[in-house]
Amino acid sequence: MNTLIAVLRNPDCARELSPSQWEALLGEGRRSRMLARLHHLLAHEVPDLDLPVAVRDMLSGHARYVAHMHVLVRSELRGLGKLAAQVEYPVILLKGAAYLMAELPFAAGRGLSDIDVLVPRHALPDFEQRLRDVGWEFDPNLTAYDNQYYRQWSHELPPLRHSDCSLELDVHHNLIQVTSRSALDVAPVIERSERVAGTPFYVLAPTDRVLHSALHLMMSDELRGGIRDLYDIHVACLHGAERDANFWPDLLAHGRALGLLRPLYYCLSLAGDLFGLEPPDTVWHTVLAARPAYPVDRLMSTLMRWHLVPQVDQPWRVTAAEQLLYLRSHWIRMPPGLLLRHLVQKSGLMAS
Amino acid sequence: MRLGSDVDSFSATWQRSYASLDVLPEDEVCHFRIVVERQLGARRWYRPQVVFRIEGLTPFDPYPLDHAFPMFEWGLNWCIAMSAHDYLMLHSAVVERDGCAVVLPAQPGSGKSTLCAALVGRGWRLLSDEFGILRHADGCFLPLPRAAPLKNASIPLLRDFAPHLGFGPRYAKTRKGDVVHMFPPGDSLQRQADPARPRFIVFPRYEPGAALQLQEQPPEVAMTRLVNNSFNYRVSGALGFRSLCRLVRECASYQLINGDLSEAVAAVESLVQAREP
Repeated sequence: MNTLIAVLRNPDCARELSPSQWEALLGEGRRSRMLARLHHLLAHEVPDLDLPVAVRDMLSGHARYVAHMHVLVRSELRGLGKLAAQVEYPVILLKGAAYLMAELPFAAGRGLSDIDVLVPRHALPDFEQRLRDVGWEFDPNLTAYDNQYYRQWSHELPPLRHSDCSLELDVHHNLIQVTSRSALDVAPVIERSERVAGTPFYVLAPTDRVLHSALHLMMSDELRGGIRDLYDIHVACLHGAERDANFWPDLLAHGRALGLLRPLYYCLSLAGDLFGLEPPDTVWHTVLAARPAYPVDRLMSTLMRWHLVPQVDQPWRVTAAEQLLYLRSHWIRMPPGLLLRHLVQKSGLMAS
Repeated sequence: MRLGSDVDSFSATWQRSYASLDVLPEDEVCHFRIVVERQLGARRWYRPQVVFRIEGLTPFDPYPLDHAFPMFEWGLNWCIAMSAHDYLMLHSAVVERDGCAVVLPAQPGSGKSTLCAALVGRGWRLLSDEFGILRHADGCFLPLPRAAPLKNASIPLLRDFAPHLGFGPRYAKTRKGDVVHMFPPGDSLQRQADPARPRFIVFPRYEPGAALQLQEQPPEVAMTRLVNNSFNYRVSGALGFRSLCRLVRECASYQLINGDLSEAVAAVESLVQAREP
């Protein structure tokens, strides 16, 4: 097992790490963007442990940087909050910004470089206009193709930037690309979203948060740091189940209604293997039924494991797994005709 | 740091530059594991390139193979800048003599590296050429002695001024023009674990043909300039503010406009001598 996963699973084992294992932990933490997270985990779980100087420097330095990013996000959310307070529709924070605003325990040390929000599709033109009125702009170098790609086929607007803000803002109208094989009806997700007390913002229901992370992990073409996403899912499940006795049955019901049992199966099974997550038996049996045919299951689980738990001495496995997963992420997000067109466009064969 | 490379010319230059360093013991944890290696594929033979890897990640585009050493120096600076947020990082050179450190904060092109190298040529200890690493706990600067890149006209100037220093090969047409590194003296490397207490802040500015001017700077002016000079002042929050306040309170600050390197060196040395009883 790799050191990062061992420490995430049982922080106490940090007491026994050898110097070369500490170095491996720093490497794995850096690759999966979890150094700041490790800082908080170790400070909280093994506060009396004397860290080697280099480890302390690296973890604490990254934690300080992430804390600074959190300050920037909070300040940006104050500005966006004025906008959110004026509109009739919910402005739903996603991922890092949501964890931060809802003060979820796993926000500490979680890095983020952009703010993701979700609004109902019918509200998109209005929200876009309001953002532009207060100075948010699209990248002036955005190509016509990219703009069209975002607006016609993607689930978000092109990224927005503001001259006062170093963060990017991504405005979504769905959790998944609208051209995906498994199109997602996001209306019930928006319906279930919850107002964050004392703020004009909404966040996803705890079950939808897990489903969204699962979707993201299994469909994203951004492959670096998958272990962080899986750990998010693991912690979000523990936290959800602790707060609400109906969390697991609700997760199952919502996952089924949204047609997301397959990604949920992959994630719960990986989180079980790597972090020891144990859903109740009844839930697990139902999720198991969404397992794909045996060869596909074996292939996916092998690829995900090679990618999530990279073996330094077998770099070809990591490369092969990541290239296949990258292709898969495109394959499931677009029908073949569109995919072909997209790849031709991106390869520069059709110089415009 | 643990460093690996399959580029012989790079290894040779690196060893010349850092020969006096002790090898990191096996049982000590390092901050960075870095590999500088040839780019695979067709580029192995045709216009060969070199890549900088940290923990298997490749944060930058490859460089031409014969620029491996400047790439490494730049890459390591990047790694430190992204990680060392427990310290206040100033874009400044720091040199020390007799326990008295002089901080030379400046923007690129102000002659900071040249002045720093010249002082080192006069026997000052090199703490750093690029990164002033200020420890919040006690206000001391931590050494980071590294090869100092001299650019263009500074190169012959320094070779004349301090011919006894070690210099690396010439790298033509980098982003900053021609570059030759001044290697850190063995003594500076040997003492890389000894921090130094700052006593003077000197903002150097080279102006061709200018007469020497050494003007005292009020602490509030020095403070403002240091805020703008810091890489991570905002990230450091209140700690950064307090550390800079302490720095300008405990140091005398000067602006040094100069057109001649010997005069500039003499001016800095006179500051320190005047302080001694």
